[in-house]
Amino acid sequence: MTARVMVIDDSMLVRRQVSAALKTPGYLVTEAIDGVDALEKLAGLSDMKLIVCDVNMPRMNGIELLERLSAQGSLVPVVMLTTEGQPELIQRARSLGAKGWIVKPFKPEFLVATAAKLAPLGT
Amino acid sequence: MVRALPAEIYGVEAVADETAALAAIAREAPQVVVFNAPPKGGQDLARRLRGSENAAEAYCLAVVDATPAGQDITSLISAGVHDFMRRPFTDAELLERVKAPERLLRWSRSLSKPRAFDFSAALDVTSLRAWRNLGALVAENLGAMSAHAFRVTPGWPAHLGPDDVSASIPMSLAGDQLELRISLVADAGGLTFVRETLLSDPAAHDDALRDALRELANTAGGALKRAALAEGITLTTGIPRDDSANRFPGAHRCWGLELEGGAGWLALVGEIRGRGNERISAAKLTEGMVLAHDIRSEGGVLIVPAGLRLTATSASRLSAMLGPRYFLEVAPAA
Repeated sequence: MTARVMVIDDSMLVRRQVSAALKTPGYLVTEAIDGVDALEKLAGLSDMKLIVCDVNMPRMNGIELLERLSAQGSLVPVVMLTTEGQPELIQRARSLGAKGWIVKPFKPEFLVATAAKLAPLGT
Repeated sequence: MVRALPAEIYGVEAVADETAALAAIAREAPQVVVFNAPPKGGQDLARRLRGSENAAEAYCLAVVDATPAGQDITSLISAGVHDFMRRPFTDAELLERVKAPERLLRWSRSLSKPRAFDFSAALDVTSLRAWRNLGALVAENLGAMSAHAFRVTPGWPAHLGPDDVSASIPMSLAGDQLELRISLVADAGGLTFVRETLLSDPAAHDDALRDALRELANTAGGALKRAALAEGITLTTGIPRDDSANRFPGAHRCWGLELEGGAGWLALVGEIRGRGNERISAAKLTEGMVLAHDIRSEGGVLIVPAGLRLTATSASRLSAMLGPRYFLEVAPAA
């Protein structure tokens, strides 16, 4: 069994690194370049098990995307992956339902362990 | 309490009693001490905790009962407690109370300036430890990102020129009318490192290279931002881009980051300049602007905090919410 994960980041490098880390244990990865792109792609995908999302992005940032997902009643767990570390932002993300906050640069094994906890393969 | 304090920001050690607390303080000097003040003897406990040499400079926060019968707040304060919090309290309250020393640090820094009490005096970013140590900070972050070591040398690497590939990230301190820019410039060896190590693609085309360099600049900006936060300064980060060729006329500092074995170089440039804010109608908010002050409702409730960098989504939402007759101060889009 596998599980689908969405990676949202305006950096191609980060999308590539996250995708490579998650594809190794068997996740299917869908990429989006910002919150607007993510919402469009999520509308056509009903099997999303996890979202890994940057905070600072053009058009719609990660916190704004969390607000939209929360308003839609989305149950897909979201983990923020960002260079940000402001307590206010972390609290805001948490209050909007984010399940984790990973500061870049990230360790791939930590990201995979987080994914395995929130979206176990084989379920 | 441990849950309320983000592990990314605070290194929290929780202990169950005074003996363990004193042992922990002796091991490592804390910046903040949060302790349960018993109804009787709270001030004595505070004195013993503060009496330890390692905790003499620590910010001391006491947790007291909801109705502190027999608990003399005044004596707690005279024993060296800086603030107290009544039980029960929320995670958010604890976080705000622990953040208070960061604001105090900012305040005390302004007091230490020649023009004491002049809160309009420009912040001296170059005095921050985070700024002085930027080269080492970024080398550490790049090392964690790539599993390669970098040797840091002060100054501009002479062999790098204006035509080398570069990327930068704008940052702002809108409340202080300052703009910062962190740039990274790579030589041929540096670009090979980006292709082979970060992209795992020796044939990576220019777009991928530039994107990777922008992400390195983003990582550098993030390192500065988190280090500055520890000194009470909140920087707002913009979107990284390619245009670092035009240097700021203001203060700047350079470092060379040499890859292990001399395989390549990155140059790191930190620049600061004053940049006046604009007072504009909410109808004219656009992507990239940074709010210079909090926006509150008439009842005083915080709607949007100062320092927010507007996206297209937030600019349009704020414009619609506040209307064209609401004027606010913003740092122009970088």
